[in-house]
Amino acid sequence: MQAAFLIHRALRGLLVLWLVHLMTFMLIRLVPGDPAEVIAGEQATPEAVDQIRESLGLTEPLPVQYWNALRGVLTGDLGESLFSGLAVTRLLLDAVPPSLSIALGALAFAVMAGVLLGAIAGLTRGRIVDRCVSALAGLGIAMPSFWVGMMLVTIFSITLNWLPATSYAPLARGTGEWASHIVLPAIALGTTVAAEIARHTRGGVIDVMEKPFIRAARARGATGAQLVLRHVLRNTAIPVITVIGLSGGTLLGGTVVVETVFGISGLGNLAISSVLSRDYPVIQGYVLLTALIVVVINLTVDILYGVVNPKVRKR
Amino acid sequence: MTQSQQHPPAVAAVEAPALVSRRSTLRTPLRQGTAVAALVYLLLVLVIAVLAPWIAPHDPAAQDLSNGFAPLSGEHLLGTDRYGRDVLSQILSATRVALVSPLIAVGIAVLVGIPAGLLAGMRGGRTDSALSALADTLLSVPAIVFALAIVAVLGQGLTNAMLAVGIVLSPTLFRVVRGATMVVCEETFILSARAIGSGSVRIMLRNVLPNIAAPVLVQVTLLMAISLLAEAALSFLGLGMQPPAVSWGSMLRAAYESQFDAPWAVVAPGVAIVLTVLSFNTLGDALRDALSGGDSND
Repeated sequence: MQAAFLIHRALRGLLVLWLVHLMTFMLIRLVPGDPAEVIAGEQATPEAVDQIRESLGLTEPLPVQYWNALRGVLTGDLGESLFSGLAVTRLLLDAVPPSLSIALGALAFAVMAGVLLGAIAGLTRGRIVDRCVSALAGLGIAMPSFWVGMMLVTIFSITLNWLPATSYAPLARGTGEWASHIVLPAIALGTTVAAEIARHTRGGVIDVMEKPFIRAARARGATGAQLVLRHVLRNTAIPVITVIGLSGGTLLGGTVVVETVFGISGLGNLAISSVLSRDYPVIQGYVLLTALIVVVINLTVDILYGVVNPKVRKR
Repeated sequence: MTQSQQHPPAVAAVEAPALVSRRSTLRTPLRQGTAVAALVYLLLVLVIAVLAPWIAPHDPAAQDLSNGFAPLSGEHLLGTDRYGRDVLSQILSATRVALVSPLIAVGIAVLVGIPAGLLAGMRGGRTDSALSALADTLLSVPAIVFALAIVAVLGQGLTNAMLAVGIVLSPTLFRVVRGATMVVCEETFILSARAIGSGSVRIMLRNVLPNIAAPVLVQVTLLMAISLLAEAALSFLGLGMQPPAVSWGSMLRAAYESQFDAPWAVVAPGVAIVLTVLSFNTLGDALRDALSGGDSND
């Protein structure tokens, strides 16, 4: 049964990817007026406009354009940037490491802070600690990630001078160097997700604590850390995994603003600069890559459900 | 219903059994207190938005280049920016944008999401499958990413940015309306309305719409918060509000650009955004509790 379920989900993911590709393909053709003229700008010579039209393949009939685009995607060719002339696939892949670093850092921070705070709140339900954590979570959801980032820079980089304010250091320059550039962006990016995870962990812990098997475990003498780790947290994993899965999109979207704050040249920065310069092939490739990542994350989450909860497997 | 849409309800189902026993007598008044505070704050923002030109201590656009980055003082309660413009006056006059721009986005989400959701929920079948697949697709890409792509096509500027945000938020509202409509359509009074010969449009307007108003109202309130955050993000990126006009998001952009000269200038506009977003969220949660009769997780 599980295999059938996963195949169904995978096919659905492919359908979504195809629709996203179709949408990004249509998007550039929906540009009011002549897209080539819009891209070239007002002072462009007719030759320059023609050249852009040619390089975008806009001179071909629409079905041919679509067929070429689809064939390109399937062979990993997303066209060339209108400005640098570099392959879009290359540009995107080069931008992945910094974005992946801060997204994974953000996820690690969010899971640690969220599960810890959420579990504490759930176990001290109704008391002052719980109230503080819940208020903090509400605040975390309301704060724009780029603002959190700027506040962190003001406090930790400019005032205290503890951590660098800008740029990214590749792993090749040493783990410490890399980590010191990742910490602040990761916290800025992960705050919202941490708040979501805290809320769901709290709710999950409260639910589980009222279940008969917890009373049974207590009756058998399970106490303190053992009770929480073995019985409570394990059973709150499902809602938490769901939130983590849904946060993949939040984190990817968040990199756009957080990378700007910290001057990191990752996917988000690439996206912004291509929007500002109307580099459509890069934008199309970026949207498609984002959709691909989200679809893969969702599939992974579906598989994880089965690993964590044997009941799901038999569905 | 498609598989991917089942996860959030599945979580709700896991949490549902404990709902009744978890209600506490102490929490309810406290919650009402914060909801009232949120409402009072939002009304205050509304009043400020209307009266901004008269209550701002200075002209928000008046430059005084010799007095740039002035610290907090009696004359300038929140200091001045790079060009010597009064920060408090800027924040007060930007309250209009902070209310109007989310209204544009939410308005578009309402215009697109509600009719589509009603149609999918009442018709079911192929119509539902097609619209749901479209919604799934839009939701599979992070909202800000799709908004960027749309802004790339429409061009920069606040109106275009909020148009993009509205399109991106439509699927969220669509799902809420579709789900609620499906539940309502199972009710006997819909059957009896059909039996007495009411047409689909009449049933939609007279019977379905009033009965899905509660979840829609909750969702709209929460979308106001999301839209304000989106406006701030897009203006911060330079794709929304264009200078010399200011929004809280574009003020943060200016603060970012002069962060090493005036590191604390990021505080005030950010606090304004956080308080407003928090108020919309609190109000939305309180509405949900009040309208659904039970309380949610906290």
